[in-house]
Amino acid sequence: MNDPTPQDAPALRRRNVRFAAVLGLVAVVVYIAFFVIKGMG
Amino acid sequence: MAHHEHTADAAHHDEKPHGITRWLTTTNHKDIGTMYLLFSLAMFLIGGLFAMVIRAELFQPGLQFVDPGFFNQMTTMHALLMVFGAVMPATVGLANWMIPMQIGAPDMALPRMNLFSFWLLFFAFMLLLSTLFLPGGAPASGWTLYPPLVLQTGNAFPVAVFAIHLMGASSIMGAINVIVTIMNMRAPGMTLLKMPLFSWSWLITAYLLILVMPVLAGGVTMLLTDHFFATSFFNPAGGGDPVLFQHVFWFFGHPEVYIMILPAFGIVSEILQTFSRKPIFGYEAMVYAIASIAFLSFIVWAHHMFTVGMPLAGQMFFTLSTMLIAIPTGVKVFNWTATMWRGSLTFEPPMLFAIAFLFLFTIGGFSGLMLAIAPADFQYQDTYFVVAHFHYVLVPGAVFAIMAAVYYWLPKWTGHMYDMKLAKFHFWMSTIFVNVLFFPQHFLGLAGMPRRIPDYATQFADWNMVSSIGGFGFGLSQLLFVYIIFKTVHSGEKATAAVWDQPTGLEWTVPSPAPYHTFDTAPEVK
Repeated sequence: MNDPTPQDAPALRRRNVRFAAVLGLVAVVVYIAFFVIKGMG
Repeated sequence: MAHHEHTADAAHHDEKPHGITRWLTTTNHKDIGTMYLLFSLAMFLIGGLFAMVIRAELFQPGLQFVDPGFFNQMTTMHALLMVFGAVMPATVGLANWMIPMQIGAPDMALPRMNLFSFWLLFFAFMLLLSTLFLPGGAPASGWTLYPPLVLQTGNAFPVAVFAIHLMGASSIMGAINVIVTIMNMRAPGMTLLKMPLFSWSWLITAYLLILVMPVLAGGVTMLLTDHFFATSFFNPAGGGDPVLFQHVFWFFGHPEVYIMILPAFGIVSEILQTFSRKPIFGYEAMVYAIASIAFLSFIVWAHHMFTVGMPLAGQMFFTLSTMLIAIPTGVKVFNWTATMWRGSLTFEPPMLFAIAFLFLFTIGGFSGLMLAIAPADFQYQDTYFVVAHFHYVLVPGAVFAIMAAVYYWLPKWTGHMYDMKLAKFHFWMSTIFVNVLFFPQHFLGLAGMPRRIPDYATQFADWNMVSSIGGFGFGLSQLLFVYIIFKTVHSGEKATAAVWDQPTGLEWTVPSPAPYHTFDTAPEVK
């Protein structure tokens, strides 16, 4: 795990992780939404 | 696109770990790309073997080799392996290898998550394949997993559902990685509208993945709770509706088709411009066409289920919205043709596969338009016409584009040129046999032969025999593909950095094979 990667640039790393978390949250919301819609219907 | 002079010391940049731990712990995008591609090749061969079982059984009417239950397991596993194990991971492998190099990034944005995505996928498929050895065998309901049929699956049911969740999670993480890489890590000057079309196609594909994979996960979770926790999402006895599953599945399933084909569009765009020695005709129109196709893919899902008894307004909406897709797709086909128009064409293997894609994918597109017409679809539904349609889209469509990509970038990956004559022979064998395999299936479908059956009426015997001969020929031809790839890894004429005649893109500015680390210092794109 010694590859030079974006992890070497902390600011970029934080931006990447934040953006990834938002996208992950979108996926979770879509997953839950179907159950909510079915529950309402 | 501006070119960047790669001045870094290649020897220093080629330091890499050795041995098995390299492959288990690597976070290098090229290593992970290679693992995805090899995994995809293995699944392509196993899924292909299942297809050989299907075609052997259908060679003649009557039951020859397998019992009907096992036949259904083969059709289901063939589809699951080819869609989720072969085509999707192949495009993810290409994305891993090429996107950082095309946009001038040192690696993917989240390298550890990248490795985790791969091993999750690997584990998912080991689980799925293990169901073949469980009592009751593998899932046999078709890849669409419709209830109530799928609920009759034996011990394999929860294992398959778990495997689908894992592969969904893997795909979502892979998609997140692609989006974050492209949005946050492009080299200075690499604006979005300067990006190569392969990277563009993957950016849009990744958004599709994030929006639809959770829908599939939701659907199969509902199946699981119906089966084990007495819920009634799809059980009419408890107030549920099995048709709801079809809506949920196809809301995922139609964009899934584009998840497989959009990266293929990107690949073909790159190859046609290189071997026509002209920039792609209508670059921005190509980007907008991909985006339009992706948007439209969300509003056409019910064309897969016209026969469930939907209202006339629904039938009209889904017919018309499906036909709308022909417009951006037509733009793409026009622009590809215009790119070749008056170009200095040469016909190396990647170009041959790209041109075959253009013709044969379009055949699949046209039969798709026939299927989009609701009243006509009542005739075609569940026949071999549908099988012919989606195989034209997926085999000489997506799979040919992946093979084109391998022949295009293999010298960049290995540093060796492959045997051109052998690769051209592979192309001609594949192209001839793929048509012998799938074209007669149009006739069978129009004559009324249902899909997913191990036996059939004798009137269908002749074309089934022809189709099976095509299948065996196509299957054998792919062994040649495997041989060419592994031979190129070890030997062959040394490839130059550019490999082809003045290709455009940052990947061609680095030596061949591409150094283990590229663009530690971001290139300047003018």
